[in-house]
Amino acid sequence: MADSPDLIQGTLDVLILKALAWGPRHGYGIARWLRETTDDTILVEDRALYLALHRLEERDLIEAEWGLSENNRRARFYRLTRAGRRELTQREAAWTTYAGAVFKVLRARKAEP
Amino acid sequence: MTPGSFRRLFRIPSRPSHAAAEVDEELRFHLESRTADLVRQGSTEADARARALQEFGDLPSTTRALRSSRRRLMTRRARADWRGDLLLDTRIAWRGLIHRPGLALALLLILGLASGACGAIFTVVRAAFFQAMPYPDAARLVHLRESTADGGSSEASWPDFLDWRAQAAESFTALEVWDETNLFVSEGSGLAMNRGARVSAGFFDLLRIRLAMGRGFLPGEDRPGGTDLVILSDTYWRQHFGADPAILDRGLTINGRPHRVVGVLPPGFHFAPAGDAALWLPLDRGAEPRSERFNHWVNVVGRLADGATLTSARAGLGLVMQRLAAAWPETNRGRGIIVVPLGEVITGDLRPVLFALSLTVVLVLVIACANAAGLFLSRTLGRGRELAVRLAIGATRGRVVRQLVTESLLAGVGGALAGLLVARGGVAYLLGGLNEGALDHLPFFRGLSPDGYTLAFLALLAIVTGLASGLAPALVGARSDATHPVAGGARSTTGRRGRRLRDGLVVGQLALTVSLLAGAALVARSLIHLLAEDLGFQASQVVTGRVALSGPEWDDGARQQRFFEALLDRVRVIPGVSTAGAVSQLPLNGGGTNTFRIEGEPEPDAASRPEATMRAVAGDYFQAMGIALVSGRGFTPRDDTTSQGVLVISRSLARLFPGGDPLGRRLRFYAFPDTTWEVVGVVGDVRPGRIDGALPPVIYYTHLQAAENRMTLAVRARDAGPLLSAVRRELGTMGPGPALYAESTMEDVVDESPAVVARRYPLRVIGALAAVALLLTVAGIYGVVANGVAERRRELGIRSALGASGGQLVALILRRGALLIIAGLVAGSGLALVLSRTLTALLYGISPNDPVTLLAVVAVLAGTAFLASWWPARRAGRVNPVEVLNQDG
Repeated sequence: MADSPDLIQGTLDVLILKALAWGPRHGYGIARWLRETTDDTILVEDRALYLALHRLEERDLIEAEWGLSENNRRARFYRLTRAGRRELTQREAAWTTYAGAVFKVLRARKAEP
Repeated sequence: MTPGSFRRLFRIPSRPSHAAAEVDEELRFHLESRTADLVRQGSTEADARARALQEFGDLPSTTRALRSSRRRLMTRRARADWRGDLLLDTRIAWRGLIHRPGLALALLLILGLASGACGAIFTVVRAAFFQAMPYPDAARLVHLRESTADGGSSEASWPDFLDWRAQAAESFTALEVWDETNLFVSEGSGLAMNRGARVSAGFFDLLRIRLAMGRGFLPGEDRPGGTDLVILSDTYWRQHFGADPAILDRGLTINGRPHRVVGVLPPGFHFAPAGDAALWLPLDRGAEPRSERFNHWVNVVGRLADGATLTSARAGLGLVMQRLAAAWPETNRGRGIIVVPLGEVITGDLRPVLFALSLTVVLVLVIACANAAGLFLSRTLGRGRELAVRLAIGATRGRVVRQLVTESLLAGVGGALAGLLVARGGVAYLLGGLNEGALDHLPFFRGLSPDGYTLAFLALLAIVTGLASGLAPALVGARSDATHPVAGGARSTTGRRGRRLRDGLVVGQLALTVSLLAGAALVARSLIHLLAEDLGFQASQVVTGRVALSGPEWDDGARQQRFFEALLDRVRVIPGVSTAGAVSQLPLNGGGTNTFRIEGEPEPDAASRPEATMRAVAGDYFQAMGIALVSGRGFTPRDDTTSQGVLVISRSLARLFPGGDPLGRRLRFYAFPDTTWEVVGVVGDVRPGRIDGALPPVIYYTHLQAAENRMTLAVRARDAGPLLSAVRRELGTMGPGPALYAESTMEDVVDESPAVVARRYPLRVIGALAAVALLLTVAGIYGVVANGVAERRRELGIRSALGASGGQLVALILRRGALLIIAGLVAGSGLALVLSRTLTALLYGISPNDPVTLLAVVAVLAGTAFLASWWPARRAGRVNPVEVLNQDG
């Protein structure tokens, strides 16, 4: 995405939060889910993902614990905190309103003189 | 669920040191998973890995960033956890104590008493050591005295002092003189006696004291014939002049002469060796004899020069004394120098007392902590079930111990707060045992009360007592018993360990109490021995009061003699009086000595001249004091300035006379070599100085042959009060000069003499503390035995069912108790033998290892301890087997 870094960061945060909405995942799992769900349209640099994960953890929006992956390997699993879930709901609503507004503008016909 | 509880539940340790490793592991997992996925999609291992790495981005910088972020987060969480835990622990501990008011009250009482006692002693000790010398750089101040050939010591003489000033300049920056005195200030119609001091001109400069108003004395103002000046203490200025800012140059009539006020001292100033002086005057060397080299009255204080030490000063002055001995053998042969730090002089007598008291109070503190530990132990064992469950669901042992210790720390804090109140009373109790005479030379004790330092000390004590009484029980109690997680009880490891700890506590308490009681008993017996000493006089029913004639109109010797004769005549007719006399200084009040030689005997050499304390007497002094006349006669009114000078000597002096009979022999004093004196009587020995001191002989003369302007009345009468008011009335009619002060009875003089006070005083305190310790230990024994009965109820029930009698059951319980008591007493005896040695300075007429005292103490404690264990043990005999067996069902 060729947008400003702030926008990317804010978007990435909400994407991660959404990724965890249905249960805990480890970092690689989040990356894979994002790729699959967006059909490879959104390519997130892995390092950005991990930096974002740690930021979210510092803000207590997500919490982490060590667990076992599908292959019985030790992995760090993340899950939403209550605050994180609240943040997700808020951001989802904000994004939907924002996207709806942009969509309305783009779909608008030529304005009356 | 908070991250913290999340982590706790799954027992995940998270320490900041793990941050780097965790980050690495997480990223490694990601890269390996991506590699595996790519391989599954068809790449080779190597290609997959390279691609995964490329997709990731800058690995090293990311790793670095993640590591520091993670470390920050973990540190923050650890700190928050710790704070949260502490708050939680404190809340739990608080609630635990509130719900057990009996336990909380017992802890408050025990720890409060012990902490308070420690706080009181701390306040007093701190005052004695750090407030005794409120001058800058006080460690450099020293006191100089002369040592005599016979091993004693005395004040210096004036010419010696001048020689020291001249010849020892490299050791001292300054040498000054002080002399304490009683001054009579004219107030209204009468005279008020005030404590005062006369000092040389540079005295206040030596101490580096800046006066609050005015100036000190200038050089030249301390010479004979100098102007009459006075410097007031801050207290005197406030009390008598209402803190008048225009005080300088106002006048004060002292000893009948007008004095001009030239300065006021700063508040809080005191110079303990001079007593609690309210008025400061320049040194008055008076008439010539005071300036002679054989007259020793000069008290010297000096400030060591930079670079000089005590040793170098002693060496330097030692040389000076040697030169003086060579130049003036008559007066200085065999005399040396004594240099001691001023602090030692001020607190010297106090030190062994304070040390004994400090040791005592520490022992009591240990006993109190042991008692508190016992209480905590029963509480912890009682919560065995709760703690075991907590351990089973995942709390670490350290965590549980921390929570238990928080409870004891809270008790410690409570004890310290209660202790502050106790300390206030304690300081008052400690200082209340000191009479005016003692306090006069300990001015830093006046108005003493616990201050900020005491508070800080008590805060420290809170932590110490909290840990001491809580740690061991917590470590014992916080154990999960694998086989019986919820049963615990006597069979489990916890029960066994707990019992061992509790037994140990009781034995320890008993041992310490033995030492305390033994110490108190030794001091008590010393006091009894001291008071039983034959003082040489009958102290009961003798009333005393000092009469001083001050003012220039009383300077004539004949007038003084007429006055005292007339006074005694009047006193004799007061109702209730049987005999009346007077003396220049009462027994036990000390006084200087004079050397003499016996006419007709070979001249003794200068170092071994006999010496005796001199006393002037008037009236029927010997009869009034009950001093026995051994041979010859006393003084009569015919012995006056027109007849031969006569003396009455004490019995021990009679031994100096070869042939044994001193009557009729003549003496000549080196201080007044022009007259001979004839011995006309011998009386029993009387101690002139300390009861526990040496017994120098006394020589009495009559005031009619050598006048005195101050004498102490000694009147044998029934009631002190009416007698003294009658005397005061008589004095009022005899002119404006005389003043009566220091009214007392001879019994009180003995009771308040330093030797007696030095023992009675610590006995007051050690006795009180020993009583507290005894109480605590008895309570501890009672608790242990009662607990033992409760624990072994089942066993006792079974035994009873099998036929054991009540008495047999009681004996069973007592057997265990007896073992503990014996162990405690034996250990205590050993401890007492060691610790009693520290009391040696206080003891009199008894050895610190006196076996009779120790045996008596052990016997008393054995009896008390047995009673304390028998009382709860009786319940063992009443155990109902049916009840007990049904209970466990």
